[in-house]
Amino acid sequence: MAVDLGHALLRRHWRITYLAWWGPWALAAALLWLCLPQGWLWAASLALWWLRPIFERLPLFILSRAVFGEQVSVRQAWRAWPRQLGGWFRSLTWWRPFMVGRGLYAPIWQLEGARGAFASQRRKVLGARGAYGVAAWFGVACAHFEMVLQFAAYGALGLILAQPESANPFSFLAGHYQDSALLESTGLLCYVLTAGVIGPVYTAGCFGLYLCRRAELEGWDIELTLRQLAARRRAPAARGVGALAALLLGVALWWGTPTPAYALECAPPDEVTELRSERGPARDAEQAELRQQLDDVLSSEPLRGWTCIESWVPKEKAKDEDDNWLVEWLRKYLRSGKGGGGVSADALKVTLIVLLVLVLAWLLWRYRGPLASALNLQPRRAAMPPTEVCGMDIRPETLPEDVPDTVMRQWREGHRREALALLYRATVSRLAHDHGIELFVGATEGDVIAACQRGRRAGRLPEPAERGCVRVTEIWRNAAYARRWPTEDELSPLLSQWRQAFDGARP
Amino acid sequence: MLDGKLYFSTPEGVSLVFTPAGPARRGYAWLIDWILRALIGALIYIPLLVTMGRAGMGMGLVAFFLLQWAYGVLFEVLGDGRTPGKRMLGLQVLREDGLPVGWRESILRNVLRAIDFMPLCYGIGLGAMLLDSRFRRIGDLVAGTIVVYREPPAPLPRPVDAAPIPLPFALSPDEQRALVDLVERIHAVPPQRQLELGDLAQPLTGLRGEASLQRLYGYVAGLTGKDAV
Repeated sequence: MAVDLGHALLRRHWRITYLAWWGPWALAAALLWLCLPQGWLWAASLALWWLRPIFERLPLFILSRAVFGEQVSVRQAWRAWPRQLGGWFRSLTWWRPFMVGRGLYAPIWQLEGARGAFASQRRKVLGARGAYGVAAWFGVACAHFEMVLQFAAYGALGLILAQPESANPFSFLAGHYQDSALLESTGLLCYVLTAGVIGPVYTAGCFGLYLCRRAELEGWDIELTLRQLAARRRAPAARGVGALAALLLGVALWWGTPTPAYALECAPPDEVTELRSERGPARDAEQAELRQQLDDVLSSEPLRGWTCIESWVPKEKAKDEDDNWLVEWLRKYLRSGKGGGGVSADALKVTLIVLLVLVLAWLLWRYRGPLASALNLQPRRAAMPPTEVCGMDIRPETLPEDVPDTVMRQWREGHRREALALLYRATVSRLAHDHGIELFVGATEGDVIAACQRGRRAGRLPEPAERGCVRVTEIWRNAAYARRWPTEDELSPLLSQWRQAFDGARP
Repeated sequence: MLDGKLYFSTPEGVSLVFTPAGPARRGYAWLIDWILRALIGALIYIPLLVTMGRAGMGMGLVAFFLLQWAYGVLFEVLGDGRTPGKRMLGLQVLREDGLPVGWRESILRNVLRAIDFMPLCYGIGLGAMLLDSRFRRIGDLVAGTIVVYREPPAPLPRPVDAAPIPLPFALSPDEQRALVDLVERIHAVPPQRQLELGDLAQPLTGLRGEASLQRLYGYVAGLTGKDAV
């Protein structure tokens, strides 16, 4: 789980991390590709693999700063890189490049700056309780992910580059091309791509594990909170916000050597050998030699009248010899047509096809509703607003013609509660019917306000209407639940606002 | 906050927390399932081949087909979202809203395995998992499922054995939670470090070392609502 946490951290800062990794990584790969002679490109992959502990320091630097909310730009990371390389010699020699779980210990060397006996003590502590095992397994999994992605890249390239007659992704791998230059360059490219994808993932996962281990061992996260608390007591607000420059990702283009036309070799077809054999015997050695030369010339690719194509051909079936009860039974009951007796295999085939068609038709009929709505054949009907919300009848026809006037009249007659109830009911009714705010029967006053705010954010509700709703709700709540009545001076401007907000647009 | 967890709350107000599982753990589970399937397949196939010849071969191939496509679906739907591999590694398939996975989702996500497998050996599936914030492969995205850790219920923390003391000044909910966390976890920390943490809490407690820790226990007893003794 800690590993996944590291992954989440990486995802949040992926842009900077990958950019920082890919700058030197692509540069090193390109240099190696240019410098090494043909046939030695495997050494480039090996060298890149060997140098990975050094590249891993870049994402570690960025992520370790990001944990504390400090945004590092790519340029800063590159500038800080040489200083982060302390102990690079040790990390490239001894057993360290081969250590699958080295990512767990990298922070000890790089971030804590521990060396010698102290470092090995730290390693022992951090790696205890199965933590190193988790890191090692994660390293193994990452190595496999790299392989998976490499296979996928090979497969995709094989599908694209293979000749159409043998579009088999494996043929590329199997050396069908026999073009070592292309194959080698592709191998390096695939390695650079996949290790460039997985490298930061590995570093981030191990860093997550390291953080989790430290939190477990030392209450590291608690210490952070305590320190923040102390800082908060000392200085209430002093927090800098780092600005992050927008960066563009440069894509390294790769161009391979063009595929040479490669001719398949195969024996001449029967017609040609027949034609040749029809010739009489040669008169002398000179003629035989001449014929040989002619044949050679005519057999060359541009002149011969045939092409070689590699394709899959079904093997000739061996005679079905074994007779056991199942075969006997099938033979007996599925005798093909002419034999008579039993069911004909053809009839069975027709039956199965008819059955399939029927099942398909039934499925189409059964799911006609969802299918039609998925294909937008039926327009979705807008849901009718409910007739009742908060126990109030909100149908517009139950409201008086002029709501504010009626409210004011009732208020002056002393029916204060009825007046405010009418006002609130009219508000909800207008919201549901005129503005299309979706309400449901059991909605509370708070739900109505929340729906209003949603509608306002979606642009369906004008701002005065929302303000009016909030104000009316406040007055209604105070009156209905706390018996705090508004004064008439408060009510009359509210009513004129209400008229403007809800009845202004009405004809 | 970055904790990689998903929070759902039910209509009853119960909040559920799930942690989606990453590609490494799911890879191990897949490998175990694959080995199991291969073993079962061999156990079925070889006797059939020996006893019934070519007809047995046909039936064996049918068995392989079922193992390939029905294994995941049956185990996931009938076995609480867990194939044997997932069971061993503590993983579980759920619907995106936290409900148990049903036939429709399970069949969809297992059929789309074929897409995830493209172009070779789960290339697309791995890519999708690395890109998605909840580690979903294409099959999960289409079927609307997630694979989460199934954690054993955490043991209840021991009640704090101290007399409650009121906090000297108001703390934010996060700080209160950190304090409770500290007291629950402090026994796993070496004694020297415990004293260091006590020193660090000086702005809060006004004391140092062991005395500071004791006062923190008192605060936490107050926060967790222990009755005064």
